[in-house]
Order: sequence, then C-alpha cells, then structure tokens
Amino acid sequence: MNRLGWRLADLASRLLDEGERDVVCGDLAEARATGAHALREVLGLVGRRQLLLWTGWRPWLALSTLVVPLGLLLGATAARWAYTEAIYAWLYVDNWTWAYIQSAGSRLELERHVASFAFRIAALASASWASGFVLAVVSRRAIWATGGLFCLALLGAFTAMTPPVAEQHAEVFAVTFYRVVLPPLTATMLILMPSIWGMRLACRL
Amino acid sequence: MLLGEFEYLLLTAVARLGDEAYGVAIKEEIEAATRRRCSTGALYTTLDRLEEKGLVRTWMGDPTPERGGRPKRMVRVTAKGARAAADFYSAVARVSRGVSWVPRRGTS
Repeated sequence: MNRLGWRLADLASRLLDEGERDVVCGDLAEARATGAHALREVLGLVGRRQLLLWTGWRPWLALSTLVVPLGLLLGATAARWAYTEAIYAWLYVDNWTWAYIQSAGSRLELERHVASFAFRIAALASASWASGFVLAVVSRRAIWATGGLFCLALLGAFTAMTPPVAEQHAEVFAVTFYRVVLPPLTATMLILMPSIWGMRLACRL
Repeated sequence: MLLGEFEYLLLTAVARLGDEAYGVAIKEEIEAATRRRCSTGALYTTLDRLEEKGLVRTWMGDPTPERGGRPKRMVRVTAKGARAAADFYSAVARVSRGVSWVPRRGTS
C-alpha cells in the first residue's frame, strides 16, 4: 500500500514543473512520508497549481473558443460519420458481390465512395489533430484540464449525437460490429487519438 | 498592502530559520507554532506569491542523500519582506491594544 501510494504520488508529481517536482518529492522523502501522505500532499499541490492557472485568461479562451465548440462539433461529426459508414460497410463488405465491379455504374459509385471514405477519415483525423495542437498552444500549462475537458466534450457529443437506428437500417445494426465496435473505434481512432497526439506534440515544442 | 495571516507565518518561520530555511524546515516550524497541519500545496503556492511580490528570494540548494539526491528550495526574506512583516506585526499589535483575549470566568 505504501509503495503503491508513493508510485501514484510519483505519477501525480509529473503534472508539476520538473524543478518543483524534485523539490517536493525530496521534501516528502526527507520527512519520511507514508505513501498515502505523499499522495495527498502531491495531489493537493497539483490541485492548487491547476486552479491557479484558471486565474489567467488563456484557459478560459481555450475553453470558450476551442474546447466547447470544436469538441462538440468534432464529436457530433464523427458520430454521424460512424453511422453512415456502417451502412456503406455493410453494403459493400457484408453484401459483397462482383457485380459492384462488373457494372460500370456500380464501379464508379464504389470508387467515389472509397475516395470519399478516405477523404473523410483524413479530414476528421486532421481536424482533431489540429484542434488538439492549437488547444495545447493556447493553454499549454493548463493542458491537463483543458485537454481532459476537450476529450470529454468529444466523447459526450459523440455519444449524444449518435443517431437512433432508423427502421430501414435495422439489419445493418443487427450486426454486433456496427452496433458495438465501430462507434467506439471511430471515436478512439479518428478523434481521440489524433487530438491527444496533437496536444503532446505542441507541448513538446 | 498588508500581508495575509499565512504569509506572515511563513515569513516569520523563514526569518527564524535563517540559512536553514527550506520546505520541510519551514513546514515543521509553522506546524509547531500553530499546532495545525501545513500542507505542501499551501506552502509552495504561498512561497511563489511572496517571491512574486519580492518579499522572499528562493534558490535551489544542494541535493542530499536523505532526500534521494534531490535539491532543497532554500528561502530568504528580503528587506522588503522584512518591512512587510514588521508592518503586519505593528498593525496586529496596534489593533490588539487594550484587548485581552484571556478567557474571563463565566464566558464561553
């Protein structure tokens, strides 16, 4: 328990500036603090530091111009996209027939869809990456809070804006993959991971 | 601008400790004087505020083995800090003149 407390305290202390982290961990080691005590002290300091950051304008700017509008927009777009793509995937993968290629009209339609699919994936992932990057540039020091809220906004909008299954699409969503796996996979791969990647990159610059 | 209560306690602890003023020592000094717990968060955020106001100066001390090779943050009161503490003490002394806080019999 003691070791776990210290391990968690060490993890939490990474939210502090490097110099302060060394000083605080040194103080706790010198005072022979228990794991629970060390964790409480570090979390207390991290909490105060994060709260103090919100006395500046940058996190509020990030929250009002990026986190809420972009988070909701991207989440809602991704939800709509996952729903539509599930229908096309069911059509082209689960109900594949060579007639899609043999017929000139169907082939053209398939090519258009593949191109549109690739473009939308790239657009969604790029927009998420850019949002995460700009968010970290605007509120670098408060990124743990603003980034966390951004991810919550993305997931919240994604969940809330996933359309109810229409009667004519019931057969598509009867397939477990399209109903259970594809939505969280889309949210994770196309919006969450690119956003976090963008934030990490901006924080390292 | 008058100091806050905790700012005064911190400045006084630092002044008393002299060359030995750093995180753990200041915390222990305050806890012994007030008989209340002093959190690391309160200590370091107040220290930063005092440093921003120019009332203390801090620097990194040498690492020691009992700290796992990590440095201490040493603190010293500046002349401005000493004046601010003296002002606070004078204000408390003035406002307390003629008032006795010794509980009288019959008062709760």
